[in-house]
Amino acid sequence: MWKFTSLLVAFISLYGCCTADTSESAHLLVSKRVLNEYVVEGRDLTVSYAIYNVGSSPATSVSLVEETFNSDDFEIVSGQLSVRWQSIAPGANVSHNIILKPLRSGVFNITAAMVTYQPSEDAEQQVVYSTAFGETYVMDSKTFNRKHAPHVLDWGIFGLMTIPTIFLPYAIWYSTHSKYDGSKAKKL
Amino acid sequence: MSWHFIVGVLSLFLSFSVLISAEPCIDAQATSKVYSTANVLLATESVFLVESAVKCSNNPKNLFLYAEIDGNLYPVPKSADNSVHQFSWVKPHKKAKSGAYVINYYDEEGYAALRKAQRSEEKSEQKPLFTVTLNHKAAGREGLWVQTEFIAVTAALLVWWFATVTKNKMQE
Repeated sequence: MWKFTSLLVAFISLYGCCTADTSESAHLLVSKRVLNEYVVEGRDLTVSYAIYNVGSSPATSVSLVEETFNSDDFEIVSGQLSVRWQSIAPGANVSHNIILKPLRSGVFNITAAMVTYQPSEDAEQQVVYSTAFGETYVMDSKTFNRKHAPHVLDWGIFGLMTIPTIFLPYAIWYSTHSKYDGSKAKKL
Repeated sequence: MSWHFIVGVLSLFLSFSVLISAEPCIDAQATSKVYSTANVLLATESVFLVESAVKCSNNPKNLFLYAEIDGNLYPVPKSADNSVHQFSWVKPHKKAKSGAYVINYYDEEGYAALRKAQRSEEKSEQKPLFTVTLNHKAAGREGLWVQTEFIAVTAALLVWWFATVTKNKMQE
């Protein structure tokens, strides 16, 4: 009986602690990833954000602001650099993606994005930063093409150029050969 | 304990009242732009992205949309200047099959009705504000189906094989 009550007391205190601890506010974690295997000048660069609410009340007026990619070096192909969510429920996660096009090659420092949110009804606005991707090398398109482009046109031209050297001698041989072959066949 | 319960109920009620306080969207007119990953080399996962500019005849002040795909509902974020609602998701290449992906958009009224129907496991009659179809072609390599180097080597081997066979015939 004593054991049971102590267990009950422990349970109640645990309940008290945790609800008191977690019902206070929302808490957001933000990750930022670059999904590319190769980041190449003039080709799509995919950046993916995920926001998790690990708190226990909804985060409201959540806004994500991305200021790493300036318009001189990156063109937006698809997606919005800054977005807002009305709320993110506790335990939920949301994702956001943007597609960019690097305009020149070189090393770029892809830093963190900023997220601001309201952790509870009358709390002050909270600011969190996403994980940062760090320094990224943007490959120039010539190097990338040399390694990975299909070179269909190049191989096509090469194929055409080999035709005279292979098929002309063959055609000449074939025409003379068929004459002799024909006479042989007649003899048999 | 009961105090916590009351606070819990109150906050639930408050969040619910916040949820339904937004104005609905009437006569939605949407223009959408879609994107999906095409090149395997450039992205490690497939990204699907839909950007919609939505116009409602009643011009609701604080319109947030929800997107429904395969029965799952997601909140849709919108751009800082309120002009574009962007819904996007990421899937591994193998799971991102080719085909048409149909996304239904709802406003908060529609969302609440859908959630209610889902909870009671009924089929909802709720009509979406608008629907966007994203035609995805599974991400692959650029160019031909096989590598061009492979085609060139095969062609060279075929020519060589044919020449050897002809030569052997002549020597017989």
